[in-house]
Amino acid sequence: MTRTLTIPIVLALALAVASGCNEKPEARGGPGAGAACMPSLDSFESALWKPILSTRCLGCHNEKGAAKASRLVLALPAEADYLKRNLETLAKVAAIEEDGSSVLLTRPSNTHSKGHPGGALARPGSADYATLQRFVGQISGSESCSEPTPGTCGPQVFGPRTLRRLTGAEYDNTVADLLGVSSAYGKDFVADTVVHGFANNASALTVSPLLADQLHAAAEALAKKAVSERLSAISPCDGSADARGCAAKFINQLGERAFRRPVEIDELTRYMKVFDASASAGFADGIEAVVSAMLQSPFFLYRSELGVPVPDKKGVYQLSGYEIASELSYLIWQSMPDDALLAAARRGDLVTAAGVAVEARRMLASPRAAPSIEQFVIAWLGVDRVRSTPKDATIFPGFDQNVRQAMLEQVRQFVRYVLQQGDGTFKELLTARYSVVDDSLATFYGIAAPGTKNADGFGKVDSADASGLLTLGAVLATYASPDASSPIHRGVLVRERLLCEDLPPPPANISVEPPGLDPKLTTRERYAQHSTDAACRGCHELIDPIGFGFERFDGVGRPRADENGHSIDTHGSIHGTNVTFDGVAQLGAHLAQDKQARRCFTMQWLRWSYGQEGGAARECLLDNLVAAFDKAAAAGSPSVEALIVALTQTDHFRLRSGPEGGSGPGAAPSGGDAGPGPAPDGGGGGDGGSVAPGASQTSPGITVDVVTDSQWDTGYCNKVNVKNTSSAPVDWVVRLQPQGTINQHWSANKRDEGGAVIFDGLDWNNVLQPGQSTSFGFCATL
Amino acid sequence: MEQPKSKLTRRRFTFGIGAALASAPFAASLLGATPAAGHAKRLVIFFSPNGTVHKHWRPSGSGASYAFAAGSILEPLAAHKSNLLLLDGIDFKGANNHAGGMQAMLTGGGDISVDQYIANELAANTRFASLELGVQTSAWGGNVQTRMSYRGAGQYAPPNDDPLDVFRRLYPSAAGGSDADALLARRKSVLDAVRGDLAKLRGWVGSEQRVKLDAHLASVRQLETTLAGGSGSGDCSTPPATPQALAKNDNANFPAITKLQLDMMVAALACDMTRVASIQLSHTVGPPVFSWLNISQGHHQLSHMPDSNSAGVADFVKAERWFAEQFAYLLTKLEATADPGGGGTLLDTSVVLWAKELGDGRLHTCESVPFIVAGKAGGYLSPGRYLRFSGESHTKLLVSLCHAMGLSNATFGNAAAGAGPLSGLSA
Repeated sequence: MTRTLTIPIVLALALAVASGCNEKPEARGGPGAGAACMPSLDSFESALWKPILSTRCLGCHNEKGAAKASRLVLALPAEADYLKRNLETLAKVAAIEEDGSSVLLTRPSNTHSKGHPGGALARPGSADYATLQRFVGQISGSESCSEPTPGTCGPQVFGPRTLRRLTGAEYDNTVADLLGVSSAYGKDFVADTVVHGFANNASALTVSPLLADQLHAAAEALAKKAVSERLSAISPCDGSADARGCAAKFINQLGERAFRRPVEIDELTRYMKVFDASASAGFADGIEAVVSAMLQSPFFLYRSELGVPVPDKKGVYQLSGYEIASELSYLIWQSMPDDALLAAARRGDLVTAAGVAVEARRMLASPRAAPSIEQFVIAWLGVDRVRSTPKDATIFPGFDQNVRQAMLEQVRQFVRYVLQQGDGTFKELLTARYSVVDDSLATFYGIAAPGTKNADGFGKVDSADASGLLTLGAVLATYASPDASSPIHRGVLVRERLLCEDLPPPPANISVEPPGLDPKLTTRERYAQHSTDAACRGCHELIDPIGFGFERFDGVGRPRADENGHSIDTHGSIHGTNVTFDGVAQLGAHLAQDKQARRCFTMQWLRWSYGQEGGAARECLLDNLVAAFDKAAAAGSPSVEALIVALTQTDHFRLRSGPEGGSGPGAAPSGGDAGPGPAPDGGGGGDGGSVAPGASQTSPGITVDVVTDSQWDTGYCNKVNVKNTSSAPVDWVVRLQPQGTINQHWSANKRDEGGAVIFDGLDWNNVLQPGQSTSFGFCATL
Repeated sequence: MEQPKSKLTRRRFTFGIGAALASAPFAASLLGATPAAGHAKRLVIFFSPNGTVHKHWRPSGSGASYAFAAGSILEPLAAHKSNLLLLDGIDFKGANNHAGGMQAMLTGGGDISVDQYIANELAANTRFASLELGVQTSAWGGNVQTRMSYRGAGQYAPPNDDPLDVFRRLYPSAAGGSDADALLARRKSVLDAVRGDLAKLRGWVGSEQRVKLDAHLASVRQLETTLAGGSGSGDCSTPPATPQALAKNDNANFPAITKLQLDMMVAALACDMTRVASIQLSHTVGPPVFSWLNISQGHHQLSHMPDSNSAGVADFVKAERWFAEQFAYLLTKLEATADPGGGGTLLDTSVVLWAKELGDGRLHTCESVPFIVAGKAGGYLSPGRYLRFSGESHTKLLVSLCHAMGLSNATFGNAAAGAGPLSGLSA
C-alpha cells in the first residue's frame, strides 16, 4: 500500500530547492516530529551524491537506464543544475512511505516487499544506509539539517579502533622476517574475503575454524623448522646454563618482534608455562612450543590499532608508537617493523606526523617498498586472476601456465620500472608508451624482444599502442571472455576500479544473452546489440563504449590489427561526461588527468592502506588525502610514493575513534587476565595537560621514593611513592630514567620523553594537597 | 543434546585404532534395509552454480510416476530415481540475481546458513562440527558470490578447495603411545596460551572487534576438539591413499579435484568425523570451462545461451549433466557405505541436498529454483517422487532440512516468508 506522506511538504521542498535556499518548510504534524528540512547542496553533494548516488545508483537510475521507469530518475552531471534537480528528486523519493518505511531506505537495502532489482546496495547498519536514514529523517523532520552532515569535512577525521588480521601474504613475509625461515603457508591459507579487490579489509578478516586449523598446522611446521635450523640465530642463549632464564629472555626478545611491542609480564608468565610444558623433552622442544604458540597468538595474528584514550577528548584514542610502527611497516613493506622502526617506536618518535614521515621516507627508499606497491596494483586491478581465468585452448593456443605466470610477473616488473626508472607517477602507470617483457612474452605477444634485460630477464620495449597498465596482458586477459575479448569486462574494469563507480548486476527478469562468436562480425558489431536493446542500454551505455577502446587487443592481450580481416573501430566514450577517445592510449591519457580517476586512485590506496571500505563515512578522509596528494603534486612531487607519505600524515594514521567508556588497553579487562596494553608514548599532539612537552622535570615540592616490589633475571616491578612536602597543592609530575623497557604501569599516565619516562597523575590522584601522598607503579623488562 | 564443544577426550590421533569395529565388513543384506521412521543423522549439501534451463531439467510425469527424458539434465540420476525428491516451483522470497541468490540459498535471508545452524544445534562433538569442501571456489577470493555457508552475519564458513589440505585435516600423521600423550599435552599448553591472549585482547576492544575475537575463540575451541579426536562413533584409522598434488585453481583439474573431495567427504562421514558436510562446486557466476567435455565457453557464459542458440544450450545441458553425474556418484557412494552407527546405509540415514542459487540462469531470477533432496533421512523422508509446488518459499525447505535432522524450529531465515516445513516430503 503506497501513500505519499505529505504532498504539500514535497512541493514546498521543491520550491525551496528551486529558489536555491535552505529554508525549512512547514513542520510535519505528529508527536515528536520536528521541522522538516533540506540539506544544503554542498552537503548533499559530499554526503549523498559523490559517495552514493553517483557511484551506486546512477548507472540504472537515469532516464535511459534499467530503472528509468522507477520513481528515482537522476540527472547526469552533464546536465544543467543536476545537483539541485537530484536533491529535489531524492527528497520526493524519501517522502514516499510504503509498509511503514521510506522507500529510499527499503529499496536500496532490498528490504522492500517488492525487493530491489539491483540487489542490496546499502544494507541496514552500513554507513551508506545511515547516510540515507539521516536524509530521510531530515525530510520527515526527525533530523536536523543544521548539524554537520556526516561526510562534511572537519580538521580531524579518523576511523574506528580496530584489529587487522594479517593477510596470507603478510603472514609469509612476517614469518620470514621474524624467524628467518621462508613460509609458503600463508599463500595457501583459505582465501580471504575480498572487498573492492582488496583482501586486507579489517572488518572482513576473521579466523574461521578452517583457518585456525591451517594456522595451527603452519605454526607447528614453522616452529619446528625455525628451531631445527636457526635456534642459535633466534635465541639469545642456548639454555645449557639456565634453561628457564634463557627461555624468559627468548620470550621477551622474540615476543617483542612477534607482537610488535614489548612483552608484558602476564604474557611472559603465560609463555613460560608453554615452555615448561614441553621443556622436559629438552630446551629446544620448549622453545619450539613457545614459537608455535606465538605464531598462533592474536597478538601476532592481528595488528592492533586500538590506542589509548586521549585525556579530555571524548571518544578519541591515540595509537601507540608501536601500533604506528606496524601501520607503517605493513603499508610500506607488507611485513613487520624492522629493528630501526621498533627503536623509533620505543623512543617515542612516531607519535608525531613529522616523526612518522621520517620513517616513511626511510622505508620507501628501501628495495622492500616496491613489492608492496606492486601488490597494491595487482589487487587494485584484480589481475592475479590471470593465473586461473579459464581460456579456450583451441582459440588461444599457447596461453599456458607459463604465459599466465609471466603475465603476472610482467605487472610487477612494469610497476617496478615505473617506480625506479620512470617518474613513479599515476600518469606514467596509465600512459607509459612502453611495456616491460621477457623473451617468452615478446614471442607470445608477437612483439620485439627487449634489447637490454634485467636479472629477471625482463626489459623495456617501446610501443606506440601501449598505455601503461591498461594494455598489460594480465589486465587484458583477465578482463575478457574465455573465447574472445570482452568490451563489457574491460568497460566494467574502468568504471569500477579506475573510476570507483559500483555498477549493479544486470537486473533480474531481463534475458541476458551474450553475443555468440561470429566470424563475419567484429566484436564491436556483436556487442552492438546491447546498445539497441532498450532494457540493456541504460547500463551498457556506461560500459561498452569504454570497452570498445581496447578492441585492438584480443582475449589474451595480444595486439591485433584486424579481426578476421575486418577493420577494428576503437572509438569510445565515457557516457555521462563529454569525453570521447580513439583507442586505449587516448583513454589512458584522459584518465591520468581526470579528477575522478585521481580521486579513485586515492580511494583505492585508502582502502588498501587503512583496510577500510571507504564509502560515505570516509569521504572526509578521502577529501583530505586528495588535497594532500594534489599539494604534493603541485610542489613537484606527484609520485605514488608522495601519496603513500600523505597516507601516513593523516590524523587517521595516529588517532582512532571509539565509544566513550569502551575499555582500551590500560583498563583492566574483566576476568582478571590483567594487563595494560601498549604503553602510550605521548600525550596526543600537545594536549597532554599541564606539562609542556620537552621540558618535563619532577615537580618541585614533592618527594619521590622508588621501591622495588619484585625482581627477576629479565625484569622487575617498582612502586613509586609521591608525597607533597610543600605548603600548596601540587599537580605532580615525576621524571624517571628506569632501566629496561616499561611494559606495564598503573595509577599514573606515562610517556617517554628524550630517553626519560614522565609520569603524571590520573584524575583521582594528580593533585596532592599539602602533606598528602599517593603511589603509582610500573614493571619493566631488561 | 548440549555437550561442551571444547571437551577434551582421550581420543587422539590414534583414535579408534583397535577399538572401533563399527565399520567392519558390511553385510550386504543390510544395504537395502529400510530404517525405522525417525530422522537423519547427517546433512550433506552439494552445490552447483548458475541456475538451470527448466525445460531441460524437468522430468515428465509427477509424484511417484516420473521419468527423465533422454538427453535431459537429470538423466544421469536415473539409477537413483527411488532415492530422490525433485522439488519444482520453490522460490526465494525477496532475493534475486547471482549474489542475492547465493546469499539467500542456505540462509533464507537470515544471518546463519542452515548447515551451520544444524551443526550448532546438533553439538555432536565429532572431530568437525561441520566440514566445508570446495572445488575452485576461491580464485576471486571470498565474497557474497563465492560463499554459501555462513557462521553468522557476514562471517563465512569458507570451503577448503585443496584436497591435500583436506587430507591433512582428516588424517593427521599419527603419533603413537606416549609420544601421542606428549604431543597432546604440548598442543594443549600452546592453545591455552592462545586462549589466554585472546581473553586479554578481548578486554581491550569494543563490541565490534569482540565479535571478531569471539569467532576466533570459537574456531580455537573447534581446533581443540579436532586435535583431541572428538567423540564420533566410527573408525577412521584407515586413511585412503594420499591424494595427488593438484593445482587447485587449474581449470583442467576440476574433475579430478571433484572426485577427490567427494571421496574424502564420504570417508569422513563414514567414520563419523562430522555430521554436517557440504561440497561447493565453483560458485555463482562461476567461469569453469568444461574442457574435458570439449566445451570451450565458460559455464556462466553458457548459462546465458538463448533458446535460439541451440548449440550453446546443448553445451550448457552437457555441463549440467556432468554435475548430475557427480551428484549421482556421491549418492552411489553414500548408498554403498554403511552407517557406522547402524540403521542402514549412509544414504538411508542422511538427508542430501543438491542446491542451486538461481532458477532460470538466463533471467537471473530465483523463481522455481531447482532443488533435489535425496536419501531417506532415517525415515523422515519418503523419496522417489517429483513434487511440484507453486511458489513455496525455499525457507520451508530449509525448515524441512532442520526437521529431517531432528530439530523442531518452525521457521528458518526470513520468518515472514512462511512457517513450517514443505508439505509432502515425508511419507
